Amino acid sequence: MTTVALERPRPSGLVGWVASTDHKRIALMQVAASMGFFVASGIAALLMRSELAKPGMQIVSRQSYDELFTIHGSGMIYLTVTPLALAVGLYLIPLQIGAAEVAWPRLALLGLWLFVAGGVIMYLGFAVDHGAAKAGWFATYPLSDAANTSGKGEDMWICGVFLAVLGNTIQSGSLLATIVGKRAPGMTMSRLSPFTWSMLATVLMALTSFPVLLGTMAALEWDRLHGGVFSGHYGPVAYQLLFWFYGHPVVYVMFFPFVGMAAEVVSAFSARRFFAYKGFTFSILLFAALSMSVWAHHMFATGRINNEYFSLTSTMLIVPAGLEYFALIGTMIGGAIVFSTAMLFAIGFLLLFLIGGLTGIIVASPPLDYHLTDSYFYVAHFHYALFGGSLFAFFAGAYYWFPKVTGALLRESLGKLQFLLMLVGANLTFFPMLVLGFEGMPRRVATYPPRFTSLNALETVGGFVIALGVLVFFVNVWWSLRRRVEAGNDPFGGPTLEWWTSSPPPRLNFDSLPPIRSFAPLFDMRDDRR
Amino acid sequence: MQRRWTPLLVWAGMLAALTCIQFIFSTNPYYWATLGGAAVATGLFAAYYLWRPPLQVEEYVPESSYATVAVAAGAAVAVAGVPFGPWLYLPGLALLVVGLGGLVHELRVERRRA
Repeated sequence: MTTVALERPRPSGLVGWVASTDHKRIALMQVAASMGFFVASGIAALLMRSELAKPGMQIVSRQSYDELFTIHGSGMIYLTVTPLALAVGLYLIPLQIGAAEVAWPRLALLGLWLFVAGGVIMYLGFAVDHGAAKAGWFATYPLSDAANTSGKGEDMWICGVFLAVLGNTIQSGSLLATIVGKRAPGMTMSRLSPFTWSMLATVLMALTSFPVLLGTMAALEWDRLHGGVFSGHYGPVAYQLLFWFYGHPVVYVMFFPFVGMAAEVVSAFSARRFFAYKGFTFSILLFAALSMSVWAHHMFATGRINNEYFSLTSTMLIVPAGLEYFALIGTMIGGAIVFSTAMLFAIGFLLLFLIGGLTGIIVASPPLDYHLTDSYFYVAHFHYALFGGSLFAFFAGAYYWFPKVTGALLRESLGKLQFLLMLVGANLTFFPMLVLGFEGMPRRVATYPPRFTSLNALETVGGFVIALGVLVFFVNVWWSLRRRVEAGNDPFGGPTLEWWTSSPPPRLNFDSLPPIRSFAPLFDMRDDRR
Repeated sequence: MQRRWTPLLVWAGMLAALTCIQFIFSTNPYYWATLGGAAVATGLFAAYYLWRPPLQVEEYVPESSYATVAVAAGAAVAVAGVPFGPWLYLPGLALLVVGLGGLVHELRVERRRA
């Protein structure tokens, strides 16, 4: 198949970007929007941590605190990590499979603007009477009904979530069609890169679980306006069952792409082909399937679900997760490892996600979950998984692919400073939460007994260290674009097709393609030259 | 997993197996309807790619689409208008219709140029 652009001048300026159907521009706008929401949600987190630095109420009211934790969680999950994962896929997948464009680029563009509109509507809740949503990022019913959460802020949250998730679902359809239908000659399914495999599993989960949330949000809004949907005897349990059918797979939607990114980084900076490729591809499909069947483990404490099945499947997740760790570490063993910033973040991802994963096994056991549910232990568990895991791998990918996207290298010295700050900050913030949770500090409280003061103060310091690390990243991006160090096409000796084309890539990505004989075609070429 | 539909079918099979296993523990319809529904949906994706007609020899990609942005804006205003009433959702629906009209026009022009 030949792909050609229509003979029309490429629109320039801001308007040209806003309506552009170039997958690279759509992805970059989505990354920018996600990072904007990341900063906004991060500010909400810093306000909460400032409030929690000592017991009693100092900075915000109790109602504002409820709004802050709701918007922080929602902003990070619906508006930052999920769209960021899809944006990286939108940029890289066509490049990694040798395609000129994504399938259905208009749908990718539609998805972007629906997500942005959803985020703006969610945040506009702060401007209406009674403030923004305050029923948490999963809007537990009946806390989220019209009687218990009055005001339009909660309705705007529901509409915002609906639009953002609709946008993500549409983009997932575009990405699935791209991976399956737009591969270059020679790029069989068994030659896809580890990142593209991780994205395939991601979009399959998104396409099969996100529509359930869309229906649930529509039903919740109907319930708030007219009543009668979830108000029956089984209603609150039904709401949770439906919500978590989205709510658990989305954790993996926010994780798999970043495992794929870490895999690419580890392979490039170990100068080795990815180890146990076939095992990795099978394990990622198994991981995705199992992660679709564990959703009600969030409901052990309700006493209304089948503990045996959901505990069994949740514990079984350790098998594919272990295989993936085995593949990543196996790639490093015997390799010529370069400890670049990208590689440091990838190793940081492995270590911090390990804590997130191991604490996940603890809460997969119903008796332990009964003790820990709704405590700070959970907050620590998912922050180790999503912040220590996903965002560390994102930064690994950012340092690895920034030269491909912009043609300029990021500064290594600033990168290593950022890594150090974020590693220290993450552990200062989240490790004390494990202890506090075990000792009984509940989540979502604006104050606490004085005996928890010292650990909370430590967490607050850690939160600001993380913020400093993020600031260093933005300074690095600004400085590296201002004082460019040209990267060339392939500064790191990468294995996959995107390193064949120019940096940044042309409109239709490739002027030519090398022979594709494996999942690492550029390693093949270098081997042939030797 | 050489063929494009194989991974989809493998995944659908995994979901179907997990749906069957959960019947050993519970017959709650919320369990099998959601998980089984996901298995069926993935099976349908696999079937689509099994029988999908061959791709066109040449494919044309657009440079931009203002109509798509209008569709997104219309949909966003219409959805956000639901809790506020017709003064907001009706203009949203109008913008959505205008956007869809623009999209049809864009596609027609594109086909003529191609």
